[in-house]
Amino acid sequence: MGNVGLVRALFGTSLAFHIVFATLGVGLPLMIALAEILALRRRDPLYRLMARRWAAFFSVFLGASVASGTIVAIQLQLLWPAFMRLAGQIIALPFAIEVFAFFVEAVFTAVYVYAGERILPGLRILSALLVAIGAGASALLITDVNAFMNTPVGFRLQGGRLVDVHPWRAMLSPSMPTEITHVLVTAYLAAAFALAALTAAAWLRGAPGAQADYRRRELSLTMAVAGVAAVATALTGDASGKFLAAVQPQKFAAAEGLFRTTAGAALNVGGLPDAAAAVTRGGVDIPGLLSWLATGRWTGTVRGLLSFPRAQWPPVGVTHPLFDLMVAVGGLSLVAATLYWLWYWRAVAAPAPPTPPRWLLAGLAAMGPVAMLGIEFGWLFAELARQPWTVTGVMTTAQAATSAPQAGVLFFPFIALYLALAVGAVLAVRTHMRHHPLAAALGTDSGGQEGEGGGGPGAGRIAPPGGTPVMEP
Amino acid sequence: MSDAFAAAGLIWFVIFAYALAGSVDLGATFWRMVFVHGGDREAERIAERYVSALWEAANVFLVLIAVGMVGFFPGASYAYGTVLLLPASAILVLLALRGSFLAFAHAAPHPPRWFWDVAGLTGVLLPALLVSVLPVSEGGFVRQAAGRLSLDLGALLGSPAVYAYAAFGMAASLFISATFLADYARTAGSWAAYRSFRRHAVWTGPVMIAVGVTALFVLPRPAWLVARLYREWPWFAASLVAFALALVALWWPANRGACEGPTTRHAGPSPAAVPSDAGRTRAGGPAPATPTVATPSVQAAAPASDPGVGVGAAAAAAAVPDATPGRPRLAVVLVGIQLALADVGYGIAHSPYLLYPQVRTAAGFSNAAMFSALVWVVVVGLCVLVPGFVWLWRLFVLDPRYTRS
Repeated sequence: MGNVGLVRALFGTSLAFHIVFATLGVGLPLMIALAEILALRRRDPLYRLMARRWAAFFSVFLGASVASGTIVAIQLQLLWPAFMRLAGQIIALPFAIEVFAFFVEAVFTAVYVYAGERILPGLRILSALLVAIGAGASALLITDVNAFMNTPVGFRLQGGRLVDVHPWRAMLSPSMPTEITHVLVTAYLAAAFALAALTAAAWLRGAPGAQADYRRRELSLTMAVAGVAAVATALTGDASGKFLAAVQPQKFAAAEGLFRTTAGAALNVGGLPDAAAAVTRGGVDIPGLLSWLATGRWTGTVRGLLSFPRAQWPPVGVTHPLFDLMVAVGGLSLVAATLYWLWYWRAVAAPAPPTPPRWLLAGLAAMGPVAMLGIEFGWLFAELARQPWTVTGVMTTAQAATSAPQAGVLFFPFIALYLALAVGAVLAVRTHMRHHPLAAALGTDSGGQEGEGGGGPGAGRIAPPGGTPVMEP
Repeated sequence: MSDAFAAAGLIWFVIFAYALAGSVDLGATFWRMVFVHGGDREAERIAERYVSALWEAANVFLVLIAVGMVGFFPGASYAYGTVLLLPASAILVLLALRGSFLAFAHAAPHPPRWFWDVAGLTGVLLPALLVSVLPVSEGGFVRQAAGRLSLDLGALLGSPAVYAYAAFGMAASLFISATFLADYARTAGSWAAYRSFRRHAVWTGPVMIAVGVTALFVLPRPAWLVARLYREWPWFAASLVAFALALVALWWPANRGACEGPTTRHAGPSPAAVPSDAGRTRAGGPAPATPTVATPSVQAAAPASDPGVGVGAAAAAAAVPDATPGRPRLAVVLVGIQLALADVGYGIAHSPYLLYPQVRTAAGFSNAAMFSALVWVVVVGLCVLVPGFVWLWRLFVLDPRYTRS
């Protein structure tokens, strides 16, 4: 691997790690705000408890998210100095606005997490909403830079120099609307499934008495958001596909593994493209569907990769499988949400309070990691299918990378760091759940005012359902 | 041309803001480590309270420095990005370890003791590493061959001035945070912690000045900078005066009878006050035993007002303060002024070059359209950020319900 390869590997590792926490950081505040709103509207303390438990996860993930986000922000300059020199002249505004959006998020996170108990419920909901808005805006702004990289606008190149720069217009690039909406709704999708998975996994281990009431609310709220987000993901995904077909046909062809320009093109699912032979082997071909998806007509013409210079092909051997995997995760999300709500509408008619069958809970528990993998697939596809460009038609990845030769030296220290952060985050969440078991929280919540925050006296009083002794040194 | 210097001034202001907020944030974890090992529960708790709520907000200033550089001075961003790959990566690793482990510690009620060693050591190493970027910017460590910039790491590590800058960064962070936390402890009515932090403030301050003067004026520095530094002597002189006054404020006899209500007595260092004070706070641990103070925290926030108006009554009612000298609020303000004056002096001296000699301030500047758009964004943003930070500060630093619970 050359220096550019090492730079890409290092930065890719940083981003792959960061987007897990960034996705949770965008989605969790929305879930917390919804739980707070339900707690107030339905006067149901179980939703308040839900918000508090999610907020504890959120503050752990935010720590890892800020840490890895700071790394990514600075590494952009360290590893891609030439790209940032270009970006600084055209697309610096989203970066700057993002800092302040994040600041709003950080301030109201501190207010919500540390002062939530001493402000009015209305202000608490407002704080949670502002966290969600700040987090969502951060995600949209950074994705906006990515949209610029896909379809750069707002400047002209004159003899290698940038002229006629319009920083605000650069933020409104053609791929911006489809890209930012798709990123936002998939973040909500993945975060909702992550929380649903935690609930489902806990329910599989048993939820006696009042715990079932709590788990039922938790699962329905997360699956309601997941269901809406799954439909929105499909819609924005379809719009993104049509946009790519029209504006970035090369990227579309790389997504679909299509080499020859075809009228009435078939959709290949699961095939493996062979760039050297310019064919896609295996998989299932669905006649006419690709044309219909791209153009809305079964006989429409779709451009293939062979109509572009071969030197500018992205690595189609991986982009098509990644695209298929991403779509598969989206499809699974729709199926999982549909199954849950089908079960729910039937079960709710029964006289006894419903408990989901084990197969459904197991499936939902698996959907948490699967949905997060879908985010990774989608991101990998979006970046790899733009290659060899960093900024389409303006700057190649090789031009953007640093000339400093130390990227290889840094690779393993950063891998070690991310492993430490991942282990730390998991341990912190587990320790928190062990010290604040749901049973104890429910017991104290119905009995008095003591919350779970700060390890109050109620935390260690009741043994968790598993029988594990609560450690109280 | 003058736009470029305005932009540089804006970035320099953000650097100053981070120097203050970051020093307190980073130093606090170091003091926490010291007090964890020293068994000083009071002081440890004060340091913890501050850091928990504010580190993420302080971190924003650091990112803003980098983002402002990219937008206003893409050329400088390119040069620094290329040469600082290794040192900046080291900073990032330490920053990430520190930040995320602080967040993890908040979720886990009884983190192991080495946890605080990680946070404390990174907290003292980070200011050292961050400040050592300054000698790089002053020139002599960046080589240019075939149009490519690279850092002469050997020269950097062999330069005594770099170590002096690093030591200054450490000492400054420790002094600023100790002074600040002394005031914070006083606001919280925790006199034992106040004495601990004040004790450390009075020795770290002189160390900081000694190391700082050595770094800037004694050790060999680039000639272009030295000449300009001497030209800005009034700023540095005024800064030294502010520092001297801050030290005086730390030693000023505590006239607490005047400012804290009638129950205060002047009984000298009363040994009885110490255990009763500590015992009260421990008893008030999990359940909020402290009576709620209705006085708005606004009063306590005004730097010029008598210290502890809002909380003094509660503090006086609950515990009898002893006569440890010091006006910590005044000292904090003076330290801020001292830092600002030195910051301006050094900033003006350094201003022609962002990176000597490769990047001149005027040449590294972005285009006019980006400049005006970015100024709007940063100024509007700072109008949100600075009051937001102050608000947060009041909510967590000055509100007795938080500081004492």
